[in-house]
Amino acid sequence: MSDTAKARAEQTARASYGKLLARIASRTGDIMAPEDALSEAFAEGLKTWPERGVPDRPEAWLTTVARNRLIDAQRRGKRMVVTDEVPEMPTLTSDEDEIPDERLRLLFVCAHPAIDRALHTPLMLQTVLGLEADAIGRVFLISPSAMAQQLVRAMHKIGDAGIHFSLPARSDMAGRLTAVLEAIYGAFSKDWIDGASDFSAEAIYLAQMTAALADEAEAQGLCALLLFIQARRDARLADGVLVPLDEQDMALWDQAMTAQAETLLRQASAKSTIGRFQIEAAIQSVHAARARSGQTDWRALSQLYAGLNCLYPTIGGAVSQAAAVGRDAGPGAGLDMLAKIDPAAITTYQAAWAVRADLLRRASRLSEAREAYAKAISLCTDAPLRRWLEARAAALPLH
Amino acid sequence: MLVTTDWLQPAHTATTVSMIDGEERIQDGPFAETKETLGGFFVLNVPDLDAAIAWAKKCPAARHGKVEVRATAMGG
Repeated sequence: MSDTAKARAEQTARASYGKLLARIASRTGDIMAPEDALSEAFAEGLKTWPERGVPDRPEAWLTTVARNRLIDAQRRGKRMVVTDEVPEMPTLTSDEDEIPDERLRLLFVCAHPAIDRALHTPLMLQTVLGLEADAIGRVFLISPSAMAQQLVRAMHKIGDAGIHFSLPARSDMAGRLTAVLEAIYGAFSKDWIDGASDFSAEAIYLAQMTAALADEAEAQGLCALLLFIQARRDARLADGVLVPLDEQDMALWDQAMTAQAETLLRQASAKSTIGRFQIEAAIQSVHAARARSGQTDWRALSQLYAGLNCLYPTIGGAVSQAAAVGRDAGPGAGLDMLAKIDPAAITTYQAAWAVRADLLRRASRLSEAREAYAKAISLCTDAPLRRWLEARAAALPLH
Repeated sequence: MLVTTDWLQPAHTATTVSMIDGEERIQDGPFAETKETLGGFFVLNVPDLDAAIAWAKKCPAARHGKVEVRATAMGG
C-alpha cells in the first residue's frame, strides 16, 4: 500500500465523514446513533480504500456501509436508537449532486456555550474528523475510557437538551465564532515538542475549513497563524535542543506554506475587523519576513504586541512584549516592562523567567541572569526547551 | 389535587445561566453549590436550547443568582 493512496483515502474519508455526520445530525437532531454507525463505516473505508482505491462517490459508499452497520446493530439489539434513524440516512442516487457542506453548523454545536469548554476540542476532533476517543485521549492525557465517556455524555446533552444545528444569529456570531476558533487553536497547541503525536495537521484542516465556510476575518487570521507556525516546524529543534525563532535556519522553513499564510492574512485584513488571531498572525508574519530581509524587525514586533495586549491582554502576551521591547529598545527597557507585570502572576511562569534571564544576560548582569536561568530551568517541563536554557546558562561568562 | 408535574432530562444535560453584574455566564451542568436551593420555576415552550437560554438571561433571578435550564423529557 503506497503512502499516497493511504493519505488520499484518509483525506477523502475525513471530508466525507464530517459532511455526512453534519448533514444527518442537523436533520434529525441526534448525533449519537449516526456517529456510531458512521465511525464504523469510516474505519472500514480507511481499511479498504488504500488497497482498492477511493470510490467515485465516497459519500454514497460511507452512507451505504453506515446504513448496513445501523441495521446490524439493531439486529444485535445493541444500544442504537431503533426506528426513524435508518430512513433518515441520506440516500444518494447516482444523479444526485454532492451533499451540502453543513460542517460549520457542527462546529458551532461542538463549541456551544452550554457544552463544557474542555470538551469543545475533543468533540470537534471526534465528530468533524472522525477521530477515535483513544487517539484524542492520548494527546489530551486522559484515559481512553474517560475520554469516551465524556464525549458520549456531551453528545447525549446535545440531543437531550435541545442544542440545535443552526447557525448563530448575526448578533451572536462574533462570540460564538470565537469559541469555535479557540477550540481549534486548542487542538493545535496540544503539541508535544519532543515528538509524541499531536493534532497540528488536524487543527490546520479545521481552520482551513472554517475559513472557507465562515468568511470571517478572524477565521482567516487563525488559519494564517497556524500555517505560519507549522511552516517552521522542521526548524525548531536541532539535536533535541530548541532553536529560538530568530536563530532558526530559514532554509528549513516551508516557504509555500508561509506564502499561503500571507495570502490569508491579507484577505483577513481587507475585511477591516481587527482581532486577536489576526494580530498574532501578523506577529508571525514579521518573524517570517526575516527570510527576505535577513533580520528580525523588533520594532514592528514591539508595536504588534502592544496592540495585542490592548485588545486581548494575557500574561503570555505581556511577557512576549517585554522580550520584543528588550531587543528593540535595549534590555533595560525590557526589564522595566517585565517589572510592570503583577509579580504574583509570573513567579511560577517559566517563560517570564526565561525572558528575564535573557534580558539580564544582555544587560551583563551575570549573577542575576544565572539565578533567573536556574529558576526558568526548574520550572521547565519540556525537554528541548530545558536543554536550550541549560546551554544558555552554561555559556554565561564567569565574570 | 395534583396541579402540575413534569419529568426532566437528567441533571447532566442541564445548563446554568447567570447575569450577575451584567456579566453573562453560561455553564455546562446543574448548579452545584450546596447552600443554594431551588427558588421557583418557569415552564417555557421554545424550539431549542438557545431560545431557552435567551429567556433565562432575561429572568430577574439571573441577576443575583443562577437559573438552571433543563429540557422536559415528556416530549412535546
